[in-house]
Parts: sequence; C-alpha cells; structure tokens
Amino acid sequence: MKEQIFEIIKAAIDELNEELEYEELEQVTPDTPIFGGDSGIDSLSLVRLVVEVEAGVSEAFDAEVTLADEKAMSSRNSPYRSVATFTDFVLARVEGQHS
Amino acid sequence: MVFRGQTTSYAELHALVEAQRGFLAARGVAAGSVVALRGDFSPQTIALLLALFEHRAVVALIPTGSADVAGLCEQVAADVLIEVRDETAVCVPRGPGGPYHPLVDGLRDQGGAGFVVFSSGSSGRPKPVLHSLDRFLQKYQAGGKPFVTLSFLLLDHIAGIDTLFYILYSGGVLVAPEARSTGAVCRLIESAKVQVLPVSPSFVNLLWLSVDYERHDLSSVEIVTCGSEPMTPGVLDHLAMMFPRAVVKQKYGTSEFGSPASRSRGDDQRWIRMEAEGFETKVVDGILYVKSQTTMLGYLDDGDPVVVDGWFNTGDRVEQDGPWLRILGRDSELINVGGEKVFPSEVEAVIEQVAQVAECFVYGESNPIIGSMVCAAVRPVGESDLKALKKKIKQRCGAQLSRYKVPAKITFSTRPLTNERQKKVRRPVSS
Repeated sequence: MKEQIFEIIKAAIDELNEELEYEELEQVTPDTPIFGGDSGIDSLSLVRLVVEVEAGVSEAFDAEVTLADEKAMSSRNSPYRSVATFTDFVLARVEGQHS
Repeated sequence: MVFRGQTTSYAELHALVEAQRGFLAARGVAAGSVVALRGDFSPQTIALLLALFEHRAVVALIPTGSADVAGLCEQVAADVLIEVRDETAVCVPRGPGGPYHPLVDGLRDQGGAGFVVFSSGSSGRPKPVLHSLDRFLQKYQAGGKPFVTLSFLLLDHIAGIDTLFYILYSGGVLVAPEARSTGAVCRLIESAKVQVLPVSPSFVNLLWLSVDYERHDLSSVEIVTCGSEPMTPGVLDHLAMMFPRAVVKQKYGTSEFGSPASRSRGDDQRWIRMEAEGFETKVVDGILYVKSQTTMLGYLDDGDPVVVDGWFNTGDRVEQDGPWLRILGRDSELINVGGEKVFPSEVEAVIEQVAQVAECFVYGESNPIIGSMVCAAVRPVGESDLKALKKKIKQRCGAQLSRYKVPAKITFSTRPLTNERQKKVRRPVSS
C-alpha cells in the first residue's frame, strides 16, 4: 500500500510541476522536499497537492481521508516536509480509515 | 532601510527621492496626475512613491500579482503607469487620462495628494478606494517608537502602506523582503535583527509547518502583529511556541480606513479594543460600523456612497463584550484565502467560458493551511473527458485570474447544481 501511496503522491507532484516547472521536482523520490526551507512549493501549491492526493487516495482505496486538518497542523513535525514523511502520514490516515 | 543586504539611510533615501523627481519631470508627469504604480517594497519604489506624493499626485497602487493591470488603470483613469522592476522604473504613458472621478477632481482642486488601493468589490471586480494623503497621515504625526520592522505585507495593501508610514514617521528601520517564503523571511529576521513582524495568520501556519523557525534565531522579535484574517486558537498557540518572548497583537483593518491602533485582551487575544484618537466604533445588528479621520474619501465607481454621516459599514460580523470586540468575519459568500479575498462570481465567470462547461458553482471550503480554499463544482456538457476538462479549467483560470483565485479543488456532477448552490449559500463559509 505504501508503494501505491508513493505513486499517488508522485503523480500529484508531477501534475503540479507541469505548471510550476521546478527543476528539483522533476525526479520525485522519497527524499524530495515538499514544504519548508528554501526548496519545495508554496502554500497554494501545497493545498492543491493535498487535495489531489486526497482524490487519488479516494479513487485507489475507496477511502475518504482528510490530509489537512488541525491535528496535522498541530503535530510537532510537519507531515509535509518531504515525500517520505507525507507518504507515511497518508498511510497512517488510510489505515486509520480501514481499521 | 535594508534591501538585498544593502542599507539605505534616510539621507540616501532623500537623494533617491530627488532623483525620482527628476525622472518624473523628464517623463512629463504633471503635478496632480493620476499615476498607477506597481512595485514591491524597495528603495526605488518608496522613493518614487514619496516623489509622487510631493508632486501632489494621486497614486493608484496596483497589486503586483494582478492579472489585469490595464483594467485597473482604466478604472482610475490613470494618466501613466510606472512599474518598478529590479530597481528600475519604467514609465508607460496611457494617453490623456481622465475624465477623472468627481472625488479625484475634488482632491486635485484642493491641491491634495492621494492614493488608491483596490478592495475586493462585491461583484468580484476590484473597487478602487480613494484616500486623501493628508487626512490619512494625521494619525502618524505623533510618531512612535523606532523599531526594526519587516515589511511582510505588500505595498499595494493598506496594511503595507500603514507599515511604511509608521516606520517613516517614527524614524525606524524598514527591512524589505525580496521573497516572502518562510525561509527567506526567517533569514532576514535573523540577519537584520527584526523587532516587529507584521504577518497574516496563514503565514504563521506556514512558518509552523515549514519548521524554518527552528533553523534560525528569531529571538529579536518583540512584537508580532497579525491581521487580515480572523485569528484562531491554533495560530495563537503556534505564535507562542515560535516567538515565546514576543507580544502578539491582533490587528483589524480594511482598505477603507486602514488599521487603527488596538490592543488585545490579556486572557484571550482574539478580543481586541480599538481606541485610537479620532476613531469610533458602533455595533448595529451585530455588524461593525467605524467612524474615523482616516476613512476613505470614497470608492471610485458609480455606486452609492457607503459612508453615511461619517460612519462606514464594515460588513464584518462582530461579537461585543463591553469595549472589547471579536471579529467573526464577513457575512457573505466571500472566500478568504490567506487574507486575499475571492468572490465566487468572478471565478465562475472564467470557468463558464470553457466550452465543455454547462454550469459551475464556486464556493469556499475551510482549510487549516490557508484559512479557506477555492472550490468549484462543475456540470460538464454531455460526456466529457473529466481529467482533460479539469486541466483545461485550471489552465484557463491560471491565465485569467490571480493565483490564489484558481480553484484548488474541482469536482464534477452530472446533475444540475441548483441544490448544491442553495445548500452552500445558506451555510456561508466562515472566513
């Protein structure tokens, strides 16, 4: 499932990057930074990415998950730091749905 | 002033203003002209703005992110458009300006300078808000403490103008960011030892998410002012974590009267008290009215005057507790995306231009990252390739609208959207 979620996130970033054309987002790996520091995307793009991934997850797993809420925002470590942290976060949310 | 690592002293700024005066003369910009100015905080932009004010011009501050500069110039009947890019001013004559709006004529007849900021109009078309410079400046005359302040809010917003005048009149230091990413802002705070940080609640959320605050020394910050969106407890918690030494002040302001001095209640900072000289408030049916010497002269449109006996209806719903007010936000369909206002009708008009769209409905959905996000429900014509259609809609919106207005979420429906609309409209988004 983790692999599949990674692919969903990768596809969403690829789509977003068709517009942004950021060099560092051309080859998406788990280490690719998403939000924070000087690399990565801005807030509007982050919102769009989250929405796309929510839609992707809903289609793939038939699970309605929310990937941006107060809980995600208040955790000490942002889930949006990198593709790897976001993948883990989505996985936890999807598993939470099914359990 | 600190910009791109260089410091410009007040004496140097004065010399730049002189130079810009020469630039205006050379370009034949007459005294009392209506000038559209587009540029972010920088020594040259500020020098130009001051030179224009000295020239008794009426300066329309064009949003740097605007997708329709020509339209805005037309709305104010600008004589000339000046853009500052990379510290070089470029002057584009727009033919003989005018006829001006009667309010502009009135101001010019008195030999007064003025400025125009654009507020989100109720139809989605930006409304030009005309201020008299002399009236607006009265409140700064007393000066204040000279702080090192980061000009986070844009120069084309009333809050940015407020930051500028406060600094100039108090002899403070203005630190102008080149980019407003969390990393860039944190670096500047550290290197320039910024004391006052005016931001929006959304930026506070972003700073928190980015964890950039841990990578830099932000201990110089003494005051954080927060405005343009209602404050939430989450934002206050984040501020307390990131700036434990700083005083947090919630600001309330509008394009129509600026932002008065205010203080927050100790036990809950969402309650504020505005008690500036020459500033009065009243609450009628839960809606806030303001009377102030800094109130605009009026909108430059054909609409009815909205200031009655000096009282301006803010349209904002508030809660009242003695002298304390809590701002709940606009009672309308308006979507507040990180402090930027979006009217659904404006976005709907663009989406409906796409050939395969039969009908669409734009609404706001609350989003913890940026307050609210723009969403669109679309009913396509017949059997359309939805993926391709979604892309097309996003492209069309991207080409015609400012970025924050482009829907983040697009959903499709085969049924008429009337029900959806009623349901959503009855439950307006708390912005």
